[in-house]
Amino acid sequence: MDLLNSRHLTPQDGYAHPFHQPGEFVYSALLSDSERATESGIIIVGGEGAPEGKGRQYDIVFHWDAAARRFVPREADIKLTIRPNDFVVFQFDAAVPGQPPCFILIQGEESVEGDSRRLKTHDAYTHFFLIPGEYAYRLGEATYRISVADHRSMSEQEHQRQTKQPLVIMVNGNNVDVPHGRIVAGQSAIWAVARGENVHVEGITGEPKQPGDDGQYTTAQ
Amino acid sequence: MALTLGHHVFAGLHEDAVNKLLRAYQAARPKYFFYACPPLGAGTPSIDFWILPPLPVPGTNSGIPFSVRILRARVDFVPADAGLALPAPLALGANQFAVLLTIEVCFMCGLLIEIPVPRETERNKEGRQPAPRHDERPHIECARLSIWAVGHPISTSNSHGGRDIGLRVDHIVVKDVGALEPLFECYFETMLNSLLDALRYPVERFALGAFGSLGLVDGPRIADDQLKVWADIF
Amino acid sequence: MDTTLAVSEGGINVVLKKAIALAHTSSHDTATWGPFFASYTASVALAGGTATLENAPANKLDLAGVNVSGAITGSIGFDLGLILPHICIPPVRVCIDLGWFGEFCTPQFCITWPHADITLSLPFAFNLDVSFGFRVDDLGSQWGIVLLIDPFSPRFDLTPMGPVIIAAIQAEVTSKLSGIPGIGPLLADLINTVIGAFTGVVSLVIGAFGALINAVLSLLDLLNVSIPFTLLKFDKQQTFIPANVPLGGDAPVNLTLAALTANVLDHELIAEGQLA
Repeated sequence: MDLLNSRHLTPQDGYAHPFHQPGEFVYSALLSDSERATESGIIIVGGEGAPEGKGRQYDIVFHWDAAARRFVPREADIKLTIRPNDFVVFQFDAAVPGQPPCFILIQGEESVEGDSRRLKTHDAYTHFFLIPGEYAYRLGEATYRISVADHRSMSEQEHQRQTKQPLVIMVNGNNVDVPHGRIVAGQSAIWAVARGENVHVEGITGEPKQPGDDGQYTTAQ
Repeated sequence: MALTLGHHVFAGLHEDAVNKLLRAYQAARPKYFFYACPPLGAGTPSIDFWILPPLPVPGTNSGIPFSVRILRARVDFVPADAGLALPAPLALGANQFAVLLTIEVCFMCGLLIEIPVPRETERNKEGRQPAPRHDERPHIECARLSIWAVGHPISTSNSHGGRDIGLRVDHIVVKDVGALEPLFECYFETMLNSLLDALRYPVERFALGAFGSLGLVDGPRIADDQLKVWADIF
Repeated sequence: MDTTLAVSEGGINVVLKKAIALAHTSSHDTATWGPFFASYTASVALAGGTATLENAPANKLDLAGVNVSGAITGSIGFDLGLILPHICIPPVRVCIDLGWFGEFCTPQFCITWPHADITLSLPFAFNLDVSFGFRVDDLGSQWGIVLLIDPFSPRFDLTPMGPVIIAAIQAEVTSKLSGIPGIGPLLADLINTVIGAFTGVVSLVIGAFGALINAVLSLLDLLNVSIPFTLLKFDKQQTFIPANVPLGGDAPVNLTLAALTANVLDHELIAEGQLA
C-alpha cells in the first residue's frame, strides 16, 4: 500500500498553495521542526494580480541530496516571480534510496504563509496512487475510503481513459464530498480545501476491508 | 600385456628378495633358526632359541642335551642358478624352488639331564638306586649337514578372507649321512615345512598395498627366478 | 631388481576410475559489468575417460574422453535505475479546471526503477583429453608413483547460455515493470533497453563463467598442473611377516623398499623396487 499522509510528503505527493497577497516568501522542504529552516528558495509575488480562478500554475520540483541531507529545488525554481492569485505546486523528482518524507514550509516576513502539514482554505494536497488496494484515511474526526483498482484488471485503453481524470475531493471544514472514491493505480487524487483550517489527510493502515460500499464516485465540478 | 597377461596387476618377487627376506627373518626371529636344550642354547630362551627337551638315552632315565641350528639358508627359483648342483634324485622343474640349508647338530656329551619316566619313578619308590653318572667332563660335539630340498609355491585361504602365498617342500636330500639318510630326510622335511609355514605371506599385502582392494586371480607361480602372482583390482 | 609390479591399462583404468569418481569441486567469484553484478559458482565433476599407456621413452598416460559436467549457479543483479531512462507518469500531464486555482495540472510521478535479480542455473558438459607423465616421488615414509599433467586447454562453448540468461532477464524485467501503472505502451521499449544493455556485456559474462570453469578444473587434484597426482603409493618399510604371526611375541619381519623406478613397457606401467 502507498504511504498516504499529507503531513509526510513522499515523491507521490504534491502540495499546492495559491498566493493571494503580494510579498516576498521563503520556502523550504524540511524533515522536522528542529531542522533549521534553511531556505530552499524565494517566491516573489507582485505586479498585477491574475483574476481569481484564472491563476497560473508554477511547479517547484525538489530532489533529495543524499550527501547534503536536504531537499534541493531545481536551479530555475530557486527564485520565482509570480502574480497574486497564481499558485505553486510543490512536488518531487524520482525518489532516491534513503530519501525521507518531508513537509513544505512557506514563510512570509511576519508570519507563516503556508504549511503542508496544516492545510488551510484554498490549499490542495495531491497523491499519485501507485499500489492498488483499499485505502482508508482520517480527515478531521471522520474516516473515508478510496478503492484503488489494479491497472492489470483492465485493458490498456480503458486504463488510459480513466487516468485522464483525477479524483477531486472537495474538503469543507472536516467533510469531504466523496466519502468513498473509486480509482485505478496510476490515477491521482486531489484534496482541495474549499474551506478549512489545519486540515490533514492521514491514511489508516491495518483497517479491515469493508465488504459493502457506501459512496459513489463523482467527478469534480 | 607382457607381464599382466590380461589381468590388472602382476607382482613378482625375485629370489634375491626372498634370500634377503630369509636373512631379515633370521635377524628378527633368531629362535626359528636355532633349537636347543638349554645348556646348549646361547642367549635368552624363547627369544634366541626354541627350547628342546634332552634326547633320551636308552638305559638311563636321562637325556643328552642336543641342538639343531640352521647356519645358512638359500632359496633358488627356477631356472637354476649356475653352480646349483642338486643331488639326485632332486631336479629343479617348472614352478619349483630349491632351498639349500646348512644345519649344525650338536650334542653335549658328558652331561645327562634327568627325564621323568613314569615307570621308573614308581620303581624309585621301591628304593631303586639312581642311575650312575659319568664323571667325564661335558664337551660339545657338533656335525654339519648339507640339506637340499625342492618344492613348489602354494596359496591358502587366510583368516582375513584373502589368500596367503607360501612355499612347500616336496623332496629333500641330506647328503653324507649314510644309513641315517631316510631318518634325517623325514625329520628335516617335517621341520622345514613347518618353518616355511611360518613364512606364509598374505598376498593382499604383498609389498604393494597401494590398490585398496586386490584379489589374487592367478599364481603363485615360480618362473624366471621370480615368485609371480596376478591380481585384479576391485 | 628385487620386486616387479606391472599394472595393465585395464588396471590403470580401474585406479583412475576411482580417482575420477572423487573428482568434484566448486569455486565462487563475483564480477561487475556496468550495471550488472554477478555472484556465481561453478561446480564440476568428472566421469568416464579411457586411459592408454605410451611406452618408454615417452612414458606417458593418455586419458581421453573424460566427461566434465557441471553447472554455473548464482545470480545476476542489476539496478534498472542505471539502465532505464528517467520517466515520469502519466507522460502527458493531467489537467483540469479546479475552482479557485484555475487550470490545475497534477504532479507527474517520476519512477524510481527497482532493483532486479535473476537466478542462474546453467548446466554444461564437455569432453576433455589430457596426458600425464610419470615420476617416482619420495613422500617421506612412502614412495609414490605420481602423474604430472601436461598443460591443457579445455575446449567448451558456453554461448548457448546467452539466450537463456537473456530470457530470464526479460521475464524478470517484465515482472518488475508490469506492476507500475501507466507505462504499458512503453513496456516493450523499456525491456528492449535492458536486453540491449545486457547484450552489450553478454560475451564478457560468458567469458567470466568460462574463466571460472577453467580455474575450478585446475583445483581438481587429478587436473592440477602444479601439484602431481599420486597414482600409487608404496610403504618404504614393507612388513613381509607381521608381528605375532604365527605366534604371539614374534617380531615383525621388515624389509625396506630402498629405491623405486617406473616406466611404461608393452603398454604396462612397470614399477621395479630394490629391497634392503
